[in-house]
Amino acid sequence: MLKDITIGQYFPGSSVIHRLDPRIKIVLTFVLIISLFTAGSMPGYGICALFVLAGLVLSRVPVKYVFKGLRPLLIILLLTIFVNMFMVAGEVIYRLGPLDITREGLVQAVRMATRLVLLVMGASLLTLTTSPIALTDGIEKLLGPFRRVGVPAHELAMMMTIALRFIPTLLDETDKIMKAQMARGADFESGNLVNRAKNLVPLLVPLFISAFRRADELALAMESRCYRGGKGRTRLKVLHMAGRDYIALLLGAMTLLAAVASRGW
Amino acid sequence: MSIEVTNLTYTYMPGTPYEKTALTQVNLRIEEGHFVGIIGHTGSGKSTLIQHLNGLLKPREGKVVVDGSDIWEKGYKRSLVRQKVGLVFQYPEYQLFEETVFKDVAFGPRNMGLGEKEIFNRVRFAMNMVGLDFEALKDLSPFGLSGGQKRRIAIAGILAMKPKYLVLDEPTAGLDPRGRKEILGHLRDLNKKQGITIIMVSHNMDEIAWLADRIVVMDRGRISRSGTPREVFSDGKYLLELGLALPAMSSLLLRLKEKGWDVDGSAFTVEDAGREILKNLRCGNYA
Repeated sequence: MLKDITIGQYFPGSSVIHRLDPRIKIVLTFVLIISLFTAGSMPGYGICALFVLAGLVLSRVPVKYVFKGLRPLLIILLLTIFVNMFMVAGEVIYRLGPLDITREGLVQAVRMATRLVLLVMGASLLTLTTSPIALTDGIEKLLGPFRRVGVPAHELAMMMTIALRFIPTLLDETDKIMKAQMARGADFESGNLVNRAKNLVPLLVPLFISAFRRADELALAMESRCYRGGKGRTRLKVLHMAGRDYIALLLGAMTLLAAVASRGW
Repeated sequence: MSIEVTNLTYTYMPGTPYEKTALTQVNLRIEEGHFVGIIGHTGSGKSTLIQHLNGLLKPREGKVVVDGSDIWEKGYKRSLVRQKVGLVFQYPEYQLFEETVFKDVAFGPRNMGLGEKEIFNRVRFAMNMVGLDFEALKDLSPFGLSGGQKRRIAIAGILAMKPKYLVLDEPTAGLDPRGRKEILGHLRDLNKKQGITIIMVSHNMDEIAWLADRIVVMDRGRISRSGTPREVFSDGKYLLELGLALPAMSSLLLRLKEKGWDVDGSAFTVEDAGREILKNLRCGNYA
């Protein structure tokens, strides 16, 4: 039932954005975040928006999927808009009962909403066009230089990869155990909160046992193939920077510069 | 009384790109007291079918009628069908969770809301049924026992609900020959002595040949053959085409037949096969 679930929201494809080096995509996402928060005026936001939109168009991911990522944000978005609209002091332009809408508040609200929407769209673009494995690869490489100061880059990436790998397996297992206990009359749906929590015991105990068993087996399988961490390890797919990566990086740098410059407008 | 499945169709994850039809227009009637074997290659829909028998899956189309009542009709208590039709999943020992064997086997009866005395009696009864020593094991942790014992505890957990119909998905998978034989022997007794209807999915044709009095063959979500073991095994070639095996004796007779012997290919027990072979030898043709 839960078998074919997709992890994250990766949308398979072969567009330019898909083919960008994952490292570059991660860096560009951070560049976008910094740009958004340094941008001081509408032109600055305009450039950021242009950057995100260009990415969207080039990625050829259906717009529907990008907006799906925005949906959970809706409440936060509305809250931000309302709080800013009513709480910022300034020139009153509209009176709504006891609440005043100020010009400054309105500007601030629009600004915050734009930031949030662009931020989430940019981040979605990263996860939509990069497979989870490529993403962890990129993170490992990017964290590489910090190994000297004790950041276990390879170990972190390996943990992420394994976690991602086992999500579908565990979902499948949960489904199976739930059904097996339901066949013995277990009830996971009714009752108050305390009872419901209690009723989870027949599900959680076998699930944990099986997770530990799998972990043990995996560790054994890795060790029997001589896995001993990241030192001296080579990889099947080596990440290479291509022309498009440098171009993307350049565009990112230009966006950042423009965002910083827009503060002075 | 019986379980009747009519025009059952089931689709996994409908309306998504992962949509997959697992069962198409399945019709099946299981009479009380029978021992039914379900065979079919991996992915033929066996597990999906048996999960419909106790209402764990809801049919997209079609009906499941247990003892005369449609289990998906409004007002029908599904918890009732779950105790009437006991379902033992594959590797059931992975669902054990309690501290003691007694508590684990008692989980089902307790969910039924029975009194302590009745629960006690049922746990003892169920453990006896699968050949477990009640006094010696009841206070032990199930996790410290052997694989075969754990499996039998899990089966006892279902039997303690006193189901009329017992459905098992590959109950002997992963057990050693002795463990297999023990479990199968208990199943046979449950059927013959307790009169419990048994529906068993298995890949092992010798087990099916030994125990079942009805066989259902599944292929790509449909029931492609059904009948007595004699009827089903007589067309050995068909089963081989489906990627299934034959009982050892059917396989032997099929090969003798190919060599020109005049044997009846529908025999599948050692006795019948022996008789067929002797008959040929006595004629002197091949001595």
